[in-house]
Amino acid sequence: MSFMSVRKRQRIRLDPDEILFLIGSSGELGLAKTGRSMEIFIGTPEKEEIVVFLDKDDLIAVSTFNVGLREEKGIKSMIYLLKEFSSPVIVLPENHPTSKRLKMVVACGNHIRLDCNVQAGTHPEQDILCSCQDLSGLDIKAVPDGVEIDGVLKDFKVEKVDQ
Amino acid sequence: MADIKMKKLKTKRYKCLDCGNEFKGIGKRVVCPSCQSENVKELD
Repeated sequence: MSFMSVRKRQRIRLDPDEILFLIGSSGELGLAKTGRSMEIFIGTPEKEEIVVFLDKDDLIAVSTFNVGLREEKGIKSMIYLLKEFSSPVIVLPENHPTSKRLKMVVACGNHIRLDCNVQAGTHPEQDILCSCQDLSGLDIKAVPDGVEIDGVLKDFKVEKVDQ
Repeated sequence: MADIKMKKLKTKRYKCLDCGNEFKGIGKRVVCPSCQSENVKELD
């Protein structure tokens, strides 16, 4: 007997004090609702600052390239830094030697697509975030009470976090 | 922290009419990141 993965669309309730972990075999994605209007600051190599204005239903997504408690702590920490400290995201120039040290990447907005075929980093103009292979292809939309995910989702969990 | 192709970002330039701060932004609810004023003007 063989099984075939079938794409489906599902809504998952997610409160602003929770993180949704989408778990793959070689990577995880953490998703959090902003819960309020907020800004994310991007510092560029051209000495510019770009301010991303998010609505209360928008999402912050953090993708890691390993799986486990350590990665989940990293995801929680990154989301905490972005939400509570307004910590800026620093952009490295293309092909920067330290890009290969990146252990997690960030995207935000009301729509995020996961793709394993892009270089590690965020591509906000295309709503693309790089992920591990078995999360690749997921299409994630922010909805008022959570997220709507279109694709093959094998394993996920929702965790409460300290605010 | 990230490796973004910045030239593809569709940013707009704004000026805060209260504190004079100029900034680049993306999104709908634009406020001045320095003084939080909503009294901002899009620049050409």
